[in-house]
Order: sequence, then structure tokens, then C-alpha cells
Amino acid sequence: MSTSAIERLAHLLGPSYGVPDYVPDWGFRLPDPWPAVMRIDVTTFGQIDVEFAVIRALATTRVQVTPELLTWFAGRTNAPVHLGAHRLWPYPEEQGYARVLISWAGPVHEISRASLEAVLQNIGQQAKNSGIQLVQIFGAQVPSDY
Amino acid sequence: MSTPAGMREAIYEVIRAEVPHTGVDDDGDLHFRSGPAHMWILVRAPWNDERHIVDVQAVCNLEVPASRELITWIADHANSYMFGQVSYRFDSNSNEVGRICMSHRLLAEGLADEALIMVVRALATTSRPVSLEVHERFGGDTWHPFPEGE
Repeated sequence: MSTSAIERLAHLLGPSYGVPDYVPDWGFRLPDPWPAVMRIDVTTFGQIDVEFAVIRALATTRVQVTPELLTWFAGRTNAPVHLGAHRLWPYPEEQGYARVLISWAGPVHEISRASLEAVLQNIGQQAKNSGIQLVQIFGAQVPSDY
Repeated sequence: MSTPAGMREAIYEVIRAEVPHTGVDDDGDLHFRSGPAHMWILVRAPWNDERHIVDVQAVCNLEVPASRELITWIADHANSYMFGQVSYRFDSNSNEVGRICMSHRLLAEGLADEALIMVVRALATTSRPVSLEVHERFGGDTWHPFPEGE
């Protein structure tokens, strides 16, 4: 992650979120509408010199992976959302359980504050909507940490 | 790129410079072949303001029969790629067969040509093995025949 990208995102997010909590090797940790944290990493892909932000919002932690959950999850993959995608993130140390998060990757070098906030709100709202369903239907845990 | 039409055309020009054979459908969306898949570039304004989203889509498989094994495979593979989520969508007149798609959305604002091309290439590349695996494991059809040797 480059220092310039961190400084630029911190400058953009400061008025709305205060001083971002930057964790070395992890990225920013931001509060979101669901009582979780959102995380922003900045990286480059492939051979081009363009920095992409990878933004993740945790919907739930520790939900049991059952056939019913997989069916729900497959249905979410084609939901009419604007940005981001639902992702299952299994716990390697606890077989049969996973986190659910919303993830989006896109270039942010020229992004405006309004657009960055729209991205964060869009992804955070999806995490909240899906998180509520997962807690109510599947007994998932409300996330408290990434 | 101040007007929606101008923005759409500017994005299309970037794609056309990289992809030799493209077309525009009745909705004004750019499309082209990528191996067995067919790709679309959609430019939309979902927030009803000047901000636009570029939706890069690849239709990998058609008329794939729904099954518990397929649903499990979708859940397992939806998050396999940084660019492009794998999804299953029932056909409009059926709840028995559907299509496998990959899509990734980018903000049009400040979108560098290299970044757009990189994402299009990423989906064009990953849609091929997805098409092949789905075809071999779950049946159905593809938009185009598999190229020789695949």
C-alpha cells in the first residue's frame, strides 16, 4: 500500500469519518451502519501502475455453512446491487463456519469525496441488510471485529 | 465525458481500441465475444445523478439446469476472483434452467483507461475456465462454441 494512496483516502474520508484508524498491513478500519467495521486496502494488480482500493464490509461473523445458507448465498449473487459482491470467507480453523462480507475493488486515484462516500454507504448498507437476514434466519453472530 | 452519452462513447472507445470486433445492441450497450462467453459493457447512473457506473459483464453459460450441486458450486466460487463475481440467474420463463454470469462494476468517474482495460481483460480471462468447468460439470450451453483446443 502506497503512502500517497493512504494520505489521499484519509484526506477524503476525514470530514465524514474523522481520522481513519490506520492499521499497518491491514488498512483503514471504519465504522459502518452495521455494528461492524469496514476495511479499505489499496493495492495494485497486474502490470499496470494504477492503484485499486479493495473495500470490505463485514455482514456477519461465524455463521454455520448449511445447504440452506448456500442456497441463500447463491441467490444473493444476482441481487440487484450497485457495487460490491457477497463473499463467503470460511474460518480455516473452524470447519463448517464462515463470515459473510461485501467486497468491492475499483480504482480510486481520481475519486471524489462524494463518490467514495457513496461507495462506502452502498457497501455498508448491503452488509447491514444481509447481516440482519443472516442473524434472523441463520443465527449468525453480529460482527464486532474484522 | 461530461454528458452520459459522451461518457458512454468515451468508455466504448477505450474498449474498441483493445477489442477488434464489437457491436452495440438495441439498448446501446457495447458487446463482444470472448472465447465461449459473450461480454457486455453497460454504463448506468443508478443514483440518478451525474455519477455513472461501468458494469462489465460476461455471460459464461446458458440454460444450465438448476441443482443443489450447482448452487453449492456457485456459493463456493462466487468469491474466487478479485474482479468479477460468479452468479446464477434463472431464465425469465423458467425456474429450472438459468445462466451463469460474471460481473464487476466500476465508478466511471476518473476511471483510467488502463484500469478499465485491466478489469475487462480479467473478466475475459476468467470467464473461459468458468464456462468450461460449468459446462463439463453441470451441462447447459455456452453463448459461443469453445475455441479449438479448449
